Amino acid sequence: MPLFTFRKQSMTDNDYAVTLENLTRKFGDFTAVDDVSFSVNRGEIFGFLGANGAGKSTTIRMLCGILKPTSGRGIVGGVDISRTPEKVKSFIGYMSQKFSLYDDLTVEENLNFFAGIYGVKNRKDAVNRAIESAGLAGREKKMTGSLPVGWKQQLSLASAVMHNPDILFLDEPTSGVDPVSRRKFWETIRAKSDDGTTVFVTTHYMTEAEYCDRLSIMRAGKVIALGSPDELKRKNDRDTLEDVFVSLVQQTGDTR
Amino acid sequence: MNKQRFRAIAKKETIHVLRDPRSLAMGIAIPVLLLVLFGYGLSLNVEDVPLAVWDQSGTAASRDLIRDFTNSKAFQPAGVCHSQSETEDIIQSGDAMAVLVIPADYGEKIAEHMPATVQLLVDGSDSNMARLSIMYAGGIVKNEAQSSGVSIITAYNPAMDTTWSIIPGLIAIIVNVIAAMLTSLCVAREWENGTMEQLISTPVRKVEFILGKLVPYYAIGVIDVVVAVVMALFLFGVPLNGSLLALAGVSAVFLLTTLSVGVLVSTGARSQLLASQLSLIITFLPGFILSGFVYDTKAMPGVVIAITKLIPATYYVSLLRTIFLKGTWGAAPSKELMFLSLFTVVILAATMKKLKLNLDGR
Repeated sequence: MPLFTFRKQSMTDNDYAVTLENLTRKFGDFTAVDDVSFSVNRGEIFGFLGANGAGKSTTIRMLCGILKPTSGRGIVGGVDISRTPEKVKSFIGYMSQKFSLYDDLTVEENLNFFAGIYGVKNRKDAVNRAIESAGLAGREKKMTGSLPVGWKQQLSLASAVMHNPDILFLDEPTSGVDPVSRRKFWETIRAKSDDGTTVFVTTHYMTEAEYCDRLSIMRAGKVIALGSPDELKRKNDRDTLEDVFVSLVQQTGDTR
Repeated sequence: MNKQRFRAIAKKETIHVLRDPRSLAMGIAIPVLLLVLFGYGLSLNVEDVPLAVWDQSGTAASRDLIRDFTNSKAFQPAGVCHSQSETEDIIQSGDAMAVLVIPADYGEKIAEHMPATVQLLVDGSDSNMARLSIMYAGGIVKNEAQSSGVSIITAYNPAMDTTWSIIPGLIAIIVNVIAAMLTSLCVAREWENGTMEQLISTPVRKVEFILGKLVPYYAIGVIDVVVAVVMALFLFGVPLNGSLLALAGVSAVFLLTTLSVGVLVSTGARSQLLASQLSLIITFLPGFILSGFVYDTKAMPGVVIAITKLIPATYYVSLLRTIFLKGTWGAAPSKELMFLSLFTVVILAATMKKLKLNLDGR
């Protein structure tokens, strides 16, 4: 497939999985994402922090090719998201903030559907593996709508990684999930990252932020801090990430 | 277009339909119900109209004519009159709704093969009954005239049974409305439930998305047509003079047309409620009023005729009537099929243009 050779080529040119260059998105007069530039290394877990409405989801949606940037560029896996969003979609996985699988399909049917949509080979094996790794064995025939939130999130993740994407975008994947399920969820993310998948994740939980290799903190559409958890603590002279976050976000008072 | 993705969409959509009793009921039970209701309720036939007779001729010829009237299903004898005032009285009293007046010179004129005139007085207070009585009477008189060398036969529907022309048209109208309603929910539902956001993050293309979604509804549409045709033949006794293949072919094309209209509506509307209301209005009203199903389109003003030509149901109504009753494909069936195909292509193209596999404009 020419798509893949093209991608590999550009991946060797730079080692970034994701690059944002002056990326901007406006909704009418409102600027949700304001001239944002940074890069995400291949294989790292990149955390995206910010208050509600800071522009995290809008940024992720643009990077997934489902929302057009107003200006600036976004390069995902070597592909320009404005020019060929459909190319980006074949090698990324996306989990939206709101649960968005089909409630009236069973666990197995949802996975089967996404395996089909992503053109996964050996679909049956892939679906079985996904059920196993999501800890959903024995629940294959359960209607998705009847699952507890924790299981739903596991299923969402399993659907999003059905095709072994190079880059995984997770938008608040663990909101509303109990601590035990959350830990299990992060174990899965870690395992994916160890396999070489780049993970781009937004969260409100500081314990989760600690798991990230690097973090960016967003406020009112702009990135106001970027670095590893330790770097951020040192630079801001705080002991915990929570203190860093609160002090940075409150500096100008406005959290939108 | 990728076959695997197309199949994935089709399969998923089929599961939705099978799991949702409402869409199954709407897809199959409602068409049957509508056909029964309208098939019996909309019958425009008139039977056993009480008919009085004032026979001033009193000849064998006049008695023949009276027998033809009273032997027909439309009329039954309701008395004899002997004067002008009696004919008025019998209608006034309601004992008869029509009076056949045969002039004194009727027998002579028939014997000399001259044009003879008879008069039918009809109670116009029930205008539908009056119109139909006149129509039936005209048929009987013309048949009578056959014996004097004039041959006029009512073509295709010799019994003038309105059920015969109503049922094929009714099938067209029901398929038109139900098919569009079915698909009208399918795109709007994905947006309303939030499942669209996940779906558009995958490599699925518009053409796979739209065609995949059509599959289960097309199957329901085929079931509807089959059930409706079986009911027409065996429940209502409508003859199928044309070929079953023609019927299947025409229906196959029309189903795609009306399902596409539903998908277009669903793509444009933001909610399922709006989509279903909108598809009901744009398919039912023109289909019922302007397709020639109830009102003859030839009698409409020029502009309206032009509009009726833009409504797919017009062609399906006329094609079904042609196939059922005339047994032919009509004068230019390929033209009608071509219009339906072209219409479908335009609608699907508009859907492709309208459908956005991203969140912009939402």
